[in-house]
Amino acid sequence: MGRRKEKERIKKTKRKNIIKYMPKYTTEQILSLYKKLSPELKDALGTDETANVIEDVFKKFKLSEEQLSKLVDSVRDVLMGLLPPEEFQEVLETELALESETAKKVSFEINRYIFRPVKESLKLLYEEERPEKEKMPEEEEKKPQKRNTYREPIE
Amino acid sequence: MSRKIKKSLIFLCFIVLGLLFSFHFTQTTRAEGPGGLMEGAKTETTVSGKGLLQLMFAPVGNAIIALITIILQVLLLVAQISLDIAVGLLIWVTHPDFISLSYTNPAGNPLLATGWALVRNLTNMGFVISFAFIGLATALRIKEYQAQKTLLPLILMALLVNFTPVILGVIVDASNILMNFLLGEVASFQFIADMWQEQANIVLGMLKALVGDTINYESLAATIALIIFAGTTSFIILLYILLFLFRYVAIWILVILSPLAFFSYVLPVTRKIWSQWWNQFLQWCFIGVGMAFFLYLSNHLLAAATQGKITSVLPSSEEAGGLIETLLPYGMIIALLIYGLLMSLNTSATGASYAIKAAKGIGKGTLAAGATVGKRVGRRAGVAVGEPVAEGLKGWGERLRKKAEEATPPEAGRWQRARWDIARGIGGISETVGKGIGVGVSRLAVGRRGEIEEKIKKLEKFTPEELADRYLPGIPQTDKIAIATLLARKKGLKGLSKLKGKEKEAATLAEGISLKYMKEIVAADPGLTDIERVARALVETVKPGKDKDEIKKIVKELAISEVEAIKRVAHKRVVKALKREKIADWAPEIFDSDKFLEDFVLSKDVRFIAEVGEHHGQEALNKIRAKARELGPKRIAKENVRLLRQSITSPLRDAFPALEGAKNLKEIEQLVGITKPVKPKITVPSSEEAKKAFREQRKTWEEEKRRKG
Repeated sequence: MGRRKEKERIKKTKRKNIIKYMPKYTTEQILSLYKKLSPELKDALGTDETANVIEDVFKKFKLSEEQLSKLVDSVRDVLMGLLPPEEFQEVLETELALESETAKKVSFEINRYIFRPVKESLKLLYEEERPEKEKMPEEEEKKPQKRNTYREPIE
Repeated sequence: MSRKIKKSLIFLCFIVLGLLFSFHFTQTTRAEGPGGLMEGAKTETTVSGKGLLQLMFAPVGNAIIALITIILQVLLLVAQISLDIAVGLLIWVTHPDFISLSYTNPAGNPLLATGWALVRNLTNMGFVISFAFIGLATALRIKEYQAQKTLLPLILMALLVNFTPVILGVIVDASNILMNFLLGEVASFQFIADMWQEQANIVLGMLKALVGDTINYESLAATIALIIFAGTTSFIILLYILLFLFRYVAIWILVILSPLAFFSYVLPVTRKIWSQWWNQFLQWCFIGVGMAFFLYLSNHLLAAATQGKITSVLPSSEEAGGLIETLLPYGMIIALLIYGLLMSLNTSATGASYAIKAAKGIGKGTLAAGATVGKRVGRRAGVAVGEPVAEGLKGWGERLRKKAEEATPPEAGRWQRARWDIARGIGGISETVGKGIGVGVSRLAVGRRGEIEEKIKKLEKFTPEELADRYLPGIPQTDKIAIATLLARKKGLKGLSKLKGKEKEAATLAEGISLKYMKEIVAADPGLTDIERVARALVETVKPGKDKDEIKKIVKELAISEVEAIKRVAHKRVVKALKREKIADWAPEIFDSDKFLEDFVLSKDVRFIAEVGEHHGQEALNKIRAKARELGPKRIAKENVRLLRQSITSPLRDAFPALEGAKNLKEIEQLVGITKPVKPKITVPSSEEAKKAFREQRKTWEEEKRRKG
């Protein structure tokens, strides 16, 4: 019993964290984010293929119109750097209220056809968004250059 | 013969005829009276009913009628002979071997050889003069006569002039084949033989009547009818002969004049002559077919009439109605011949106009196909002829002007000064004209596209502001086009708007010189499709025929003029072709145009709209959305369903949120009409039910068998 309770608690906190990532954005905010995106990601967002994949998923998994709307928003958030791709499946489970198996399948489809082709761009996008502190240790690690004994002094 | 004798003779004739008719009707009335009561009693009654007057006057009457008939037979003989001659002439004139001279081939007709060659040579001189005239018109910017419009027809016609006998020969041959087929059927003119036979019948009938006890006037009536018929027919046939004869002459004259007619197509002012000539030519070709058809028809009708009605001798007791029956077929045939004569003129004229219409259609296609080749050839030809002319004129004018300027001594007298002034003036004019021709020729020669491209390269270093400053009224057209194109290329509508209203002029100039640059300029400002010439060029020249149906539909649906419809289609096409990469260069004013917003919503996708939002902000997006709401989902679904779908399924749907009435995919599908048809349910009986039914069926069969036993 104790384990189950613990699991539920973890799930709840996760959902809370996800909800933090899923706020409602205004069109202006979306457009300002869109401006900064790489052309590859802009293409992924605007192309007919993305829309078609989403429509296919909607039909294949018999999603409701509301679920479709949330799925579209989630895909947009991932491509715009608002939701890390790793958390996409979790959002499907919580926001779209999909069963974990269905969420897994949907996530697989979306990953395969939408996110994977722009994998590198997404990687770059989410790396850029990491806090600077994470990058600091790399700089600290740089060792001071030793004096080269083979070099002639310049004077 | 004195007037009095004439009057008394006519009076006498009337009395005799009156008496004859009165006796005849008295006789027939009496004969019919009892006959109506009892069958078979007619003859008896006729014999028993003979009056004293009739018995006395019948031989006398018949003798008088015979006398008049014999006199009229002479007239009939003359009429028959004239008809024979007329028909003989007609057969001769319409025979293919009537004239060995060819209709159109100068080699087979010395008249044509001389006349046609003379006219052709004169026309060739006309071509040279009109070539120079076109050069001048181009330099002086006389729109109607500019090289773009007149050079291609000039080259085409200069070539075709040498082949007019061949072209016209085909048409004349076609009409002759048709005409000869119909005339071949008429050639025998069997009815003439029947007519002679008919005359013999009349004489025989008259002689028989002399010994009869009743008055017979049929022979007299038939004689009069035949005289009228033969006389009128021979006259009409004579007219036919004259027309057939003149047809030869008219076609020869028209063939001789054909080089001039072809030449007249070159200049708009003389183009009317071209259509008039063609109208005449086709009319004279096909007039023969029309006449032959009516001769053919009347010949067959007459043959039928003479065999069936007229040759049969009417019974002596026939009523007055029989007379009409005798005369009517002849009258009808005369009427048909007259009608044929009149109609053949009208029909051939109508036919000619139809043929001209059809030829126009073919001509348009040919011109369009030859346009590209013609332009290239024309340019080369322009260089060969125009350049030395222009150079010569320019040089001579310059020399004359300089000489005049230098040679005018200060102490010269008034007259001497005036003379040099005139010389200087002429020199100046010649120099200007020479320069003009030179410019025109160089434009033709180099190809203005190349010229504009060179100028664009030279101007590329300037900023848009500097370029706009260089756009001055006096600069050459190619400079104006180069500046406008460069501004459009560099900064799109933002760049073009620096010209401050002059972009319309630039677009029109570009339309006249190179469609490539016109398209570039218009792509930066779709509003320029308001210029009719530009719109027409986009719709009719860039993709001819493609939008015809759409234009017709718009004209019908919106009840607007064709020009307005063309402008709409052109605008739509330009907006549809707008590139995403150029959105940043659009001036914000573009979103104030209702027409632009409409075509934008009906042709673009969500990505395009998002980019508009990126570069032009929320305000532009709001205008697009408002327009979309105004148009309504139904209209958008009809023309741009992709956008509606994207408003539901695209991650960029924030740029274009779903519209009321198209909030989900189901609603959109309903709008487009892709609802799946419901399959009818088919109830299949279970195996048990089938077995039961079969058992019942077998029972009934067995019972039936038993009954039959």
